[in-house]
Parts: sequence; C-alpha cells; structure tokens
Amino acid sequence: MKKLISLILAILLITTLCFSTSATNETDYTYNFGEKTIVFNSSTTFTKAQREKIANILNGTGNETEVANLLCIFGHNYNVDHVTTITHCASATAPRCLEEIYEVSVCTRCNQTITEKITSSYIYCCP
Amino acid sequence: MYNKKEETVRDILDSSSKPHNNEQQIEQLFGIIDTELNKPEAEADQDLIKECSDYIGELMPDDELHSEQELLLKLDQVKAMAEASSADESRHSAKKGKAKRIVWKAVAILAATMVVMFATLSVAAIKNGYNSAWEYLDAKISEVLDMKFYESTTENGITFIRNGKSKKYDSIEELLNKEDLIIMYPTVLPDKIHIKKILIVPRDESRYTIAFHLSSNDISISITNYYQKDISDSPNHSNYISSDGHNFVIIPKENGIYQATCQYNGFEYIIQAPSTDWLILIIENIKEIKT
Repeated sequence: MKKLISLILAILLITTLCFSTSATNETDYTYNFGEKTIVFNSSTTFTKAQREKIANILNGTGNETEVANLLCIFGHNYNVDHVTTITHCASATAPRCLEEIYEVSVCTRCNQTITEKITSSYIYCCP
Repeated sequence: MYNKKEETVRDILDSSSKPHNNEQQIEQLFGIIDTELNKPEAEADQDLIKECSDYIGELMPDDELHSEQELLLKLDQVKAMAEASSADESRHSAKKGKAKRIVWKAVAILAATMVVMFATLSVAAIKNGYNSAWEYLDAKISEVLDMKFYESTTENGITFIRNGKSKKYDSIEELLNKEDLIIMYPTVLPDKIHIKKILIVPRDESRYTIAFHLSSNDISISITNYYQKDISDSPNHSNYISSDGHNFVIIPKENGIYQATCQYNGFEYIIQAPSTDWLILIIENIKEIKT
C-alpha cells in the first residue's frame, strides 16, 4: 500500500514538474517569460533544445558560453537564423511594446550561441 | 702729415713740390677731406674739412660752359637714345603681337577640348541611357556632390537573406530589383553608417518583415508588408514629416529614441534614430525603387 502511495505521489510530482515546464512554452516556437515573448519562425532550423537555450539567452536568463569542442579548434560551423523578441509595455506611451529582431548563430558542433540585434521598433501590441 | 695748427690749406698746397693746376689741387683737397673723414669722429678736424671744402668752392669755375664739339656730342647721344627708344617700341609691339597669338592659340585649344569633351559626354550619355550630355553631366555632378557629404549606404556590397539562403549584391538598387522588392529605401545614412544585410523575417505564412542590418545599432530600419494600425489617429504629441508625398509620423519615446512610421503602398516603414535631425536626413533621402 505504501509503495502504491509512493508511486502515485511520484507520478503526481513528475506530472506537476512537466506542467510547470510546459507553462513557459505556449507552443514549440513561442516562449513567454513574464513581459517578454520570444518568437521563432515555424520554419526555423533550430532544434527544440536549441530554441529553449536561445529563448533563455534572449531573456537574459541563459548563458552564451559553451564548453569548447576540439572539433571547433579551427573555427565554428554556425547555423544562423532570426528570432523576434517582444518586450511588452516597454514604453508608457503608445506604441508601447518593443519588438526586436535578432540574428542568432548556433555552432552545430559545440552549441556556442551568438546573438546580434538587427532591428528594434515599438509596436501596437498592448493597450 | 699736416700740421693744421700752423699751416693753412693754401700753404700746404703752395708748398707742394708737384706742379699743379686747379683740377690737381681740387683732387688733393678731396684727398685731405677723405683722410679726415676716415678718422674717428673725435679726431677728425672739422675746421680743416670746412677750409678744404671752401677752397674747393673757390677753385671750381663759376659756370660750366660747353664747347661746340661737346654740344654736338650731346646731340648725338640724344639721337642715339631716341633711336633706342623707337627700337624698344617696335620690340614691345612685337611682344604684344606674340601675346595675342598665344591667347588665340589658347582659345582654339580650349574650344577643341570642349568639342572633344562634349562628344565624349554625348557618347557616354547615350551608352548610359541618358537623353543628353547635359543630363548625364548633371547626374554625375549630383553623384559627386552626394559623395562629398555622405558615405554610400552600402560598403563592399550587400547581403540578402531569405529562407536561410544568402546572396550578395553590389548595391541596394540591384538587390531590390532582382529580388522584386518594390519598396522605398534609404539612400543616405548619417555618421558613416551603412547597410550590411537585408533580411526577410517571416511572421506567418503571408506576413513578413524586411529588416535592414546596419553597421550601427543607433539606427533601426524595418519594413513590414502589413499595417499594424491606422497611423492617422496617432497620439497628439507626434509630429508629421512629409517627404516626396509620403507622411512620416514621428513619436518621441522615453529613452531618447525617436520613431518615424510611414504607411505606403501596402508596406509600413519604421525608422528609429537617436535624434530628429538624423530621422529627417534619412526620411528626406528615402527613394522609391524604379520598376
């Protein structure tokens, strides 16, 4: 009986953790962090793991550095794509939300990630 | 040499053993004056100098009369001078003629150069699709003047990225023409900022953003193929700038950024800059691609 209760509790705990993780991911391509939304193109070449990592970096909660790979001793092999971030209510007056487009480069061998801002514009999003 | 305390000048000259006439005496007196003047000022005998000069005055004839021969000689000299003067005049007129010939030669060379230049410009104008040499020259001068004040908006070509594939073009005009993007584009950017890349960032199946990747983050230019909202009801604190018939709404933001927005031909243009001066410079030099 005790084993059964332990098993049910463990399942509940794992399920709760899964829910909390998925709460940050509305879809596989849109990541919400409070006032910040990070949007990937549906045709993006980044893998899910890479998208999560990039979303965290652009939110300021991730780290761009990676352990060096010996294969990259003579240079990285970057996969480059573009990601849009929206900072909601960034301005007190309309248009209030700040939309920024980043160029993101991820090394296919060592996962080193580089982000560079391309454009920024205030958009009519939040009232 | 002389004991001027006891002897007068006359005595000196009289006592001289050499036979002398007036001229010789005058010469001797000048010698004495010269000797005295060569001494230091304190030692020079001013009385002696005065006496000598007085005596020279006495020895000099009252008036100088010229003989007939001397007069003829003088006349010959005047004639010779007159001849020399007339020769000078003829030389001068010859020089004048030569100068005139040089001027005419220069005018002829200039005219020939102008004809050659005009012919070359006409050929170049026709080759480059201009109607006349003047039109071609005007376009080239404008190009040079533009280059004088502003850098080109592209440097070493421009990269275009769509669907993860990149292509390189020599100029933004070539890029827009070949990629069939019928949009307005900036021809002038301040502070030596130039366009590095133009990217097409898809938003969904039909909507996309054309993002200009510039060499500096101080300025941002993006174009969407849809309108966010009608900008005619923009906030009261915004300003309008009209350039070439296109209205740009300028909205200042709290962080010192100014944002200009224009809706034209299905595209929404958003430009951000740290000052209205920069915004106006960019907006006034926005051009529409010719199809």
